[in-house]
Amino acid sequence: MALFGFGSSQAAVSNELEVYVRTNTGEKVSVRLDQSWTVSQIKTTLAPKLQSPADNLRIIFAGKELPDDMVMRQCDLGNHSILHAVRVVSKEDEGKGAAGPSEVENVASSSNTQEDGVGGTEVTQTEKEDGRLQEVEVPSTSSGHTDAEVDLRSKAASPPLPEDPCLMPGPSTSNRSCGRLLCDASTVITIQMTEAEQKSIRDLKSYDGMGERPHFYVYCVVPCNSVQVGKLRVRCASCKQGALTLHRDPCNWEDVLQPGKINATCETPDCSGTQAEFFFKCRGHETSGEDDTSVALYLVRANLPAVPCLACTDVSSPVVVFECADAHVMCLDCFVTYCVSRLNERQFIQDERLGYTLSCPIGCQDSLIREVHHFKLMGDNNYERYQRWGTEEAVLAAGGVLCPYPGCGQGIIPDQDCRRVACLNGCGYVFCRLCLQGYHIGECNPEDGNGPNVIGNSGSFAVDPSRAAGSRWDEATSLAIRVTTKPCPKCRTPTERDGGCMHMVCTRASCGFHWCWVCQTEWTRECMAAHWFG
Amino acid sequence: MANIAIQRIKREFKEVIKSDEAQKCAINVELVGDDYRELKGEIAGPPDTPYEGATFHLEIKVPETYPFNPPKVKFVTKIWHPNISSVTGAICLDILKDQWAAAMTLRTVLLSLQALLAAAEPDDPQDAVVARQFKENHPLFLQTAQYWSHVHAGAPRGNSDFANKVRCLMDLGVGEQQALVALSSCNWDMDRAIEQLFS
Repeated sequence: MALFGFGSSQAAVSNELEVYVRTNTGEKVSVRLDQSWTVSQIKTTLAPKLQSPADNLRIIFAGKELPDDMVMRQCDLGNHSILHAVRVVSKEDEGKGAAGPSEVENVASSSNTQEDGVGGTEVTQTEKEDGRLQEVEVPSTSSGHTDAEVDLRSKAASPPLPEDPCLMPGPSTSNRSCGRLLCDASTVITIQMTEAEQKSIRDLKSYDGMGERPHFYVYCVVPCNSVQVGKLRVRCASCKQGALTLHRDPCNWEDVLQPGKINATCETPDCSGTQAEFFFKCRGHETSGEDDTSVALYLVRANLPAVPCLACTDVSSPVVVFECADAHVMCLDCFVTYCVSRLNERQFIQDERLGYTLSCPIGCQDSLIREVHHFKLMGDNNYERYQRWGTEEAVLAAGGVLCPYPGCGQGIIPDQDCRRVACLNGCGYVFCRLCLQGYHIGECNPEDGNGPNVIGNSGSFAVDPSRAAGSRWDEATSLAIRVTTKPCPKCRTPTERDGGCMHMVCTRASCGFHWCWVCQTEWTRECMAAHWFG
Repeated sequence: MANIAIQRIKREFKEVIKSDEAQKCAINVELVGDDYRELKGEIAGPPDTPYEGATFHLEIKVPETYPFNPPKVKFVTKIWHPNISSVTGAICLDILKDQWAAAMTLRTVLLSLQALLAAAEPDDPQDAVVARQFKENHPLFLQTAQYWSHVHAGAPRGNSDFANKVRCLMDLGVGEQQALVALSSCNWDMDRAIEQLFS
């Protein structure tokens, strides 16, 4: 089986390479090697340095164990790439190794240290059936420094195609079943790209090691509180342990983001998990443990094809790529401005399935953002507003009302035909569901305008004195609102008209009612004819 | 103004200046003041319309949230058109309201407005008076629009009959524009115009 489909077409710049070799006990040695060497030659070179017989070493690169007869050139190694050497537990210790969980733990912890030291290596411990420990590397993308684990630049230069054997699940020809796991960021990313995009990357990238590389991006809430480059990792969906082998490699975002897409065999004792669970970690800080995960921002990508932002027309990276058919591109700054300006006007869209979200700024179909963590980019204050308004819209969409008392806004879902609503868990205000004024008997009086009218509501509820003091201030606000606005005839959102024609479109995204400023009813042909411009 | 808005407007400004349309003097923009908050737009009346040969000036105000919100555009030059207010110059065009998209630019806005001059939509929302004339007395609408273009926007062809009627009203102490509006909205019927003005 061709384990490494990539790289075979590349001409070697130089035959000499300096690579680092890491062991599962945390040692790191540098080796100069020739591209024409085979893996077994490397093992021979390494053996004295690692004080371990060559036969007991296994070399792992890019998530696959390299067979002895493989020539290094086929592996597409870059200068300063890191190979992994695993000391195989010798025959006589084998039984003990398999039985003793302490040893598993031991090796696992050493691999953690190693991972933190490198900063970008993804390591999964896989305990094999025969009791040996196999260290399998899940390469993430590298941030450009020279001790890159996997040289993604060169991988992107000849991306494996889906039909490439290295991505196909299939029986291994070797009984050591090497190369079981390949969760490679560049694989996932390159497959998402169109052929043209891949070609432009091939054109862009040379061997100088400069330039952008494909990355996963995550939103790291604690401690970075910013967009960070992410690392893809995998664990068992049942026991949450990393010791599992995938039945097939993920090849798109769906495989990674949707649970249950990829089957796996969990190797943890007493766990019969059959499903892999992918997750992301932030690369911006040292991991603080198993729970230190981040949410993948699947719309954020490295701008390898150098597409200009649709708003400011600058070329920057990373960018937000919307899911519409045209895959519109926006830089992160403009994305934030876009979200904040929509938020300020409450123009987010309340979607039944996805919640409070936005579409591509061009308004393309099927472009709603599915992962709300993208809105974290707006900053904490805006995100908090976003969450509050999202909740409010959800309450309104469910047929509820919001307590109109200033500073309250409690969401209430009252009985269907009850007009008297009491804000029970909130401020205690009792109000009329129809006009949102203090509760009254008889018809609503439209002249009351908008906003709560606390004065004159004769003690149907007890007012907290501090609240009463506060509401005097708000009274001025509500007066201003009353004077300068008219309510949308449908949803009663106070609306201000600052010029233009009399044709109003309700600014609340979930309402959007067309109404006439003069008649305060639905906009009609008669309004156009009679007083379109006042 | 937010950086994005300025940056974007600067680019669009250049785009308009360098465009083929600008070369042919069909559209143009100028700066008002030294920031990019406000611009002066210019569109030429399209050929084979009553606006041919005229130049219309537009006031373009760029909001802070540009390009996520549309620019505020209105006609400074008085124009007789069913989709544009003859009094305030306000425009009811969907792309300047809810159909705005961040990918639109000054150039596309100016070209859309020019297209609007060429193709008024009588079945879409429209100014009451102009619309009625547009539908019920189309030849008179064309003449009126042409006369407005001549008076306000420098179109070459005048109309001596209309000019005389306006002068008659001005002799009665009515302002020129007031006389023009009254006569235009009364289908150039002197008696009705006088009645409207003095009642």
